[in-house]
Amino acid sequence: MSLLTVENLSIDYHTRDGDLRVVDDISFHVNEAEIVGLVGESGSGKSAVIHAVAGLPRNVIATSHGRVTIDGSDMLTAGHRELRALHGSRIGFVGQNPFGSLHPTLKISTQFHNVLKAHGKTSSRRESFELATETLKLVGIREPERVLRGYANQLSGGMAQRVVIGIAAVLKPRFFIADEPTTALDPTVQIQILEVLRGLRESLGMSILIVTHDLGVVANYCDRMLVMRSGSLLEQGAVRDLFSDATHPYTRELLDVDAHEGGQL
Amino acid sequence: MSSIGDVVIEFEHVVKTFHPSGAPAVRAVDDISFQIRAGETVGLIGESGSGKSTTGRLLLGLERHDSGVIRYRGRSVDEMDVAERRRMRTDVQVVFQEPYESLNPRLRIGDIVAEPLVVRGLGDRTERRKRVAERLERVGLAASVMSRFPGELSGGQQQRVGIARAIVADPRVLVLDEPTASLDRTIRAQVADVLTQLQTELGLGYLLITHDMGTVRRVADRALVMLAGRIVEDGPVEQVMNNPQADYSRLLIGSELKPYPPALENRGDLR
Amino acid sequence: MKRWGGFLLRRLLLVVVSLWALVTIAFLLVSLLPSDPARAVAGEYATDEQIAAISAELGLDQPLWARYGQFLGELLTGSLGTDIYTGDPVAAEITDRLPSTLELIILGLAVATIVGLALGAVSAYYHRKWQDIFSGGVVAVLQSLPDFVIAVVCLYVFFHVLGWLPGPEGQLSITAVRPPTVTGMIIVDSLFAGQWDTFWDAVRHAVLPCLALGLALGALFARVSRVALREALESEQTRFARACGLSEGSVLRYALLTARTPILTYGAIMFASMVGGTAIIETVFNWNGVSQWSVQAMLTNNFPAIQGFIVVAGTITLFVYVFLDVLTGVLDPRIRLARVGR
Repeated sequence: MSLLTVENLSIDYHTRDGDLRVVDDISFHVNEAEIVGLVGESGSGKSAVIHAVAGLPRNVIATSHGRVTIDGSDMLTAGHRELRALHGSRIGFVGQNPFGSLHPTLKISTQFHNVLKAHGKTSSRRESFELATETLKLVGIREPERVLRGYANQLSGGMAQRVVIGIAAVLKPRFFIADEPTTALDPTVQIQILEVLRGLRESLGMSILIVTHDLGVVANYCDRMLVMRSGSLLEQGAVRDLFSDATHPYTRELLDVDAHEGGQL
Repeated sequence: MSSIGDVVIEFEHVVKTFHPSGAPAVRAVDDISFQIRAGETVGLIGESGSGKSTTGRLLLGLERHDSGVIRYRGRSVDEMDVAERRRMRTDVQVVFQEPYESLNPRLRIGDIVAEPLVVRGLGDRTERRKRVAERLERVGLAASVMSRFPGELSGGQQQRVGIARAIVADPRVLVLDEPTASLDRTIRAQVADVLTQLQTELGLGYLLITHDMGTVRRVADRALVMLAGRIVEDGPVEQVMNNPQADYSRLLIGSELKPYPPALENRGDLR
Repeated sequence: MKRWGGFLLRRLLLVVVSLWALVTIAFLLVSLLPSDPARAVAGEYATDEQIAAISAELGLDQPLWARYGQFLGELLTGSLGTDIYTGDPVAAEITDRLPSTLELIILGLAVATIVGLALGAVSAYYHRKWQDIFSGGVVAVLQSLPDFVIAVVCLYVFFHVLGWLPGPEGQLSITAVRPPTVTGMIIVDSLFAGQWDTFWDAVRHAVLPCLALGLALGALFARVSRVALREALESEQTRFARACGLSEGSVLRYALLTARTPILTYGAIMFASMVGGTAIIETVFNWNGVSQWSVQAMLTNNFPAIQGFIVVAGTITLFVYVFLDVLTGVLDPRIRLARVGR
């Protein structure tokens, strides 16, 4: 049962220097409770894809063609109100830099409260606090009350990213998009965050689309993977299959680079 | 890798403590000792707060150590006079993490790479132009890139410019602070290769500060693992990376995700 | 808590040192004025002896360090010297007029904040679209018009043509009853005294000058808030807020909170610079404020008055900046709190 369906998606960016086709006719899907890795280097178009899938505006004027359906709603044609209702409650989004996503001068509990209030899911700060505490426990924070009463700058990188995931997941969305969620973190913390995401899949049945450039992430945490380059989707399939029998030379090149640098090789 | 010569840099029981206002004192570097030889790459691995960046800054002279000895070519920096210290500054150069942020966007590449020469008053205009062109070619960029601006180059190209600038005044030691962190996978490999090649040609010593194990494996001869200001492991790179002894090293190196799925662990053809 | 104590103590020490430096500079600047005040007081037809006598009376024949000592001594007893033309104490002349200027500045800044934030927010939110261009145009026009032009245009439209508001007759109409002095600000004092007619009269007279000042300052405010808001709206923080389903209003609110510090800073600078900077508006509207008084003093070489004004205006500026420092520290937890979790 597919939760996300992308059909013939093409995206053009209109800049002052002309039009650029950043995504060229790609199609893929993500099933329920599945973790899919989207791999690509800079310029591959992966950023444009996930922003289109998430229904988030960018600082460029863009036109999209094709269809992107999440749980029945078409993300490309949905109006503002419909999108806003989906954001947070059905679709969660987490970025690379947790300190960039969290508000610097508002208490963490306030940030949770605002999200819950925006979706009418709370009637008091007390209630929000309790919901937030549960969610923070779910993402592995040991002293949720202390964190909630404090501010973003008091947290380490790993804890901050857990908080971000918590806020994005507090309404238990069914589909989660993580844009390079571990790139800015220390190596020992990266695994912890990936385990948190995997844990959410287990406990909430969430589907997750992880954008990454790290094949180790894909190899160890994803069920399926998509490889993008210069706007096109080169390969897609089960991780196991692609790692052993990748057909596209670019994919082989990517795998090869990592192989030289990693493990007992 | 390359032929390894005499000891160029030596740290002996070096300590550096910071005193931020209103907070307890922090021992960023807590009694560390190591050596870098000519032609050798020492990889300094650690996470944030380990003290690896401070170590690099101490070597560059951006911070003063509180106790211990730092030696350059056998001479302690505390005993150097002004002229010797200036020479050391020229001989120990740095390549930064963010290529775009370390290049002045309003200057042309030629001027950026020539800056260290201008600052030290080395050579006249024609000589400088020649040197800049030669260095750019060494890092694999065409000399024509001299008239371009940083914004016109890709991340990998910008990082090569940073390297060219670092070697333009003929240094002996390079401090590489996360040189490949913000680059794509395939570009990372290319830049690492440039660095290795330069080291062989010029007999440079490298202090490679990073938390990217892949680059360490590719470029380093020795590996040091830092935690909370101390060195917990020190040895040849193959040994440290494949068979770490200390608990923390095992944790850190073990947290590196293998680039192939667990199910295919035993496939020998995954080369 | 210990951190706060040290911070405040250092700040206060700095204030004391700055005050001393300010006072000394005020004295030196004035004593270096090229023209001779004694001659100005004596008049065109005075003889040399008369000028010399006045010079002695004013204490101008004393050596510099003696005059400096006398000046400091008087300051410590609360005296700012004597106006050489009217003979009144300078301190009294300033305290008479300062509240009126403060009234103007506070209300004018309020208008400027509303106008500036509105224009800046529109520009930032509708970046590059027609609303941005239109708003930017309004700001450009306001910025290129000198404040007296704005003032005169306001007068022309609202007084002369429409007759809605009173003309440039100062703070009150001639027939109004002045309230007993509590703060010196007529609007506030008439409220305290319960004199509603006077209150409304004062308010009506304040509208145009505050509007003119507000428009003039609002343009500058708009530029600062536009840049600060633009940066906040393009940040990852905004993306995350939207991704969690927050309304555009909340997103803007979040951005404003982040952009708070540069906007507050600019507001404080404007406040401080308006003590003396409202001279033209005060002159146009016949407002009995300290700014236009100080300009008069400078034009007539009234050196004690000039000295006194520099000291007062400088002191106000100093305290505004200290207040700003403390306020920013309180509002921004990044400055207040250190890292805890690791």
